[in-house]
Amino acid sequence: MNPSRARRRIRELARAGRVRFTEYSALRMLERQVSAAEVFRLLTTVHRCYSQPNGRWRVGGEELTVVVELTDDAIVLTLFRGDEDGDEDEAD
Amino acid sequence: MTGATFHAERKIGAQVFVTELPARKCTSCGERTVSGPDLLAFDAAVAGELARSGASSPDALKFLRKTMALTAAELGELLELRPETISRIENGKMPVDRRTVALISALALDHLAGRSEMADRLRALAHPPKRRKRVDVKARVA
Repeated sequence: MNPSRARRRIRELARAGRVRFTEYSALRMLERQVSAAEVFRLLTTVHRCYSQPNGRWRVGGEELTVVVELTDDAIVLTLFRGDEDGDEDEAD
Repeated sequence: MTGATFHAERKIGAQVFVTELPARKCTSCGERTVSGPDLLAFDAAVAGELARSGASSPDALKFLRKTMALTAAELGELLELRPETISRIENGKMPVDRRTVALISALALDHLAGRSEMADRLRALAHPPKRRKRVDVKARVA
């Protein structure tokens, strides 16, 4: 899947409410005071999206970056603020 | 996939809001996932409690803005405040007046109810529409 298609797919899934959070990312979201609405806003309006070597997609916004896996749903694996280092923090 | 629960907990200022949400557990890897719309509903419930109680702590006001998915610039435009002022309020570096708390609470409660009257009025005040000189109105007569 190319980035353009991934962007469309992520937007479609987010608009349909088909987003799930792993326990890790949900806990992280709650701890870091990221709201679910912020994540949905990012995913429904995604402009920048990069593929990772592990097949996951990194969706970047101004303040927030989210790593998702695309299955039947968009699975949010981790998220971090712009000033955090996400590479060391992604759960497998 | 099997059923499970996820303990959701939000700490806003001195308050902790908790609930149990349904989760799915993968039978092969054991990974639990929780639905995005369920987390949205949890956040909405927390925001509703904060807005109705007139919470005015920096964390509460920041959380209300984030639940509305507004940037500091967008909220600032509605309230006629600079984004930097919103940031200072949310960081506790500047006191907030009751009128601002009331407006943010009203905006949040509108948003949670799926309405936008308050935001529309504030936008209209910021960018007044051209007014017609003659306006036909319907009077509600007995």
